[in-house]
Amino acid sequence: MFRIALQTQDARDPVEVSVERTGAADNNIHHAHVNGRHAEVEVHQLGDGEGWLRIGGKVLPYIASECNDALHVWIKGRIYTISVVDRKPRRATGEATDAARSTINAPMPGTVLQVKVEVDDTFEAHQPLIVMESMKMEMTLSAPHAGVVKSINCKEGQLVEMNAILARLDKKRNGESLDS
Amino acid sequence: MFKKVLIANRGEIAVRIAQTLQEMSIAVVAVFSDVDRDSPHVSRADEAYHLDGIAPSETYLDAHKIVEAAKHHKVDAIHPGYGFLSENAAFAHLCADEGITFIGPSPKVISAMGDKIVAKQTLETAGVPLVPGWSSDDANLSDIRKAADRIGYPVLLKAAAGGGGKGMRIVEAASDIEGALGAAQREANSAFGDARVFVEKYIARPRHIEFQIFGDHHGNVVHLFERECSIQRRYQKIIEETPAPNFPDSLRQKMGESAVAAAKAINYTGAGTVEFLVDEHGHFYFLEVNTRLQVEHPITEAVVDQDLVRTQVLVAAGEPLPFTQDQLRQTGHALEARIYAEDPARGFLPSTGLIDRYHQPHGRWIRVDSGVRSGSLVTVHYDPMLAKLITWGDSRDESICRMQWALQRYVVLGVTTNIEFLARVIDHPNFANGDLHTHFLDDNDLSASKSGNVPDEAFIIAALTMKRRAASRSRTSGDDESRPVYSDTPWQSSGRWRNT
Repeated sequence: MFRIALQTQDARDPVEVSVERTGAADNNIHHAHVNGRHAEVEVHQLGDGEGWLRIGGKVLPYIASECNDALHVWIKGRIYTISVVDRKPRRATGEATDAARSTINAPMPGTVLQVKVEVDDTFEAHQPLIVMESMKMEMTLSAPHAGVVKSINCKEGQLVEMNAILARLDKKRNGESLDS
Repeated sequence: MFKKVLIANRGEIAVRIAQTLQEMSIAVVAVFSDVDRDSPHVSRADEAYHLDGIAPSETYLDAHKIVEAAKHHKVDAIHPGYGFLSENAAFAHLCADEGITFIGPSPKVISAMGDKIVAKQTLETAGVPLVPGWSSDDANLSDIRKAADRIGYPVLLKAAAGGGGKGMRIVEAASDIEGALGAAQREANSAFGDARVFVEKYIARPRHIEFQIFGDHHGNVVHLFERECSIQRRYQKIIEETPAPNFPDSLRQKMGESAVAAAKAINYTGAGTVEFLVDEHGHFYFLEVNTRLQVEHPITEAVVDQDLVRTQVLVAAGEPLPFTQDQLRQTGHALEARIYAEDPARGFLPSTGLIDRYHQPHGRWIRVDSGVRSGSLVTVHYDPMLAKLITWGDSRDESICRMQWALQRYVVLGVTTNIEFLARVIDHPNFANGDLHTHFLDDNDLSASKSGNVPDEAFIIAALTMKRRAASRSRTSGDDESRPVYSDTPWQSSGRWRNT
């Protein structure tokens, strides 16, 4: 029996899934359980991540691919993004906790037009920090909280990919943490 | 006939042009930028040469680099495709100076039609209707009021220096014009430092309908009927079709004649498109002339059963048009949907990255013009359009059904695309009814269904995939199962139709 905890893109409650081949090894019928709901599934694999299922007579061609840390599952015209729930306990690093830190990430691929702050600058919540452009659209990236600029990870004029970290921020000011 | 032609373009259009040239026994020369070395448009060519750089300005837009390559490799003609240098009169001139045929209209026509004011004046003289309007450098309230009365309400006040909707006011009735004019002038003055405002007829729910025209060097000019291109997002067409739905034959004939008159007035040669706005009462108004092959040309090819690139090449080589107006007929109906690497759920932001899986639908009445394959990298440097999906049917209903089938079987994983959004547009009852206008995407609810529920099947497939991966990791030998059933080889994918 193969068990796994999965979650959807919006990471609501984990979904417990198990699949188990029934009977002989050349048999492609599986028992599947999704959060306790049972289905008998005929699995036809055609290659890496491709194939079709037959569930209660319904034929469902699929293609699954793993990229950007998630599985993208295409089923007949719809794409679902699913990831594996990470159950490993987080190791204590001795550094500031995540809550005291944040990053400014590129919301889209594009060009950095303007960096309005420098390392060690303090800023207020909602203060514009970086201006980006993509496909002639301009977007201002503002501070999610008040704090100090820890590092700047981009240059004006630089092309950046989506989700690239543009700056790292600390949520503290004048040596004291704002969270404590 | 030409022996060797250079395609000064990339992506799906370069692939598409290459196929026709090769079918005509003409050798194809591709050019490519640093990041396009592995692209399909390179592998489908007979020869390919590198253009140093990435940015369009130093590669596909660099007229001198391209003409140098053409001279060096003894090319007879250059096909510019669409975009890039296709409507660049200086480039067309440069080609002529170097003794290379530019496959397109003359530099004179390109520059005249590229200047919107000159184009409007020229076409007005030829009797093509323009959107009624009036402007003057020192217009006062009573002049504007008189002009609006003459044009008929509603009217649109627009800043002469304008753009982006600033200084723009819709005026429904004569009683509102004084206030609207003051507001428009103040806004225009603060936005552009220029308070001049002109008045134009306001067209509430316009349709964008364009006519394909073709001229040769022997004085022949024809039109190849219309294309309905009203489904647009920010002036970017995403779905096109022909024949236009709910479009009377009498209007088709009048607009076709008008398009031909326009082409004759400017001695047009090669392929071109005359764009019109059509209002709810069936009045049509000239918008602009595109002096090149359009993105959406395949739908015309499907219903008139002609290869427009082949016709462009014949005309450029000095041959007469291979058809007369009387020989051209519309048979059936064709639809095109443009596949873009963009994320409708995130305000249509462009998406980039590696296309991990790419499978396109196949079928006798399905055509895919694609510039990508599995493993292609989508970057921010060029247009996010990956491919075009075209379906043909006996009737509009039939081509719509085929489009629904094909969109459901079009797989792009790794880069987010608009495929599901296109399916929602095609599935919308107002689309089925042919109730089309340029605000269609704003006026209809096309958001994904609120129940974003993931079906159990998806979780089962994810679990099976993870199980298989775990098993293959534990095995030392590789995976002995065969590769995918689908494939994206050119032989299966690019079939064009033959209408019976």
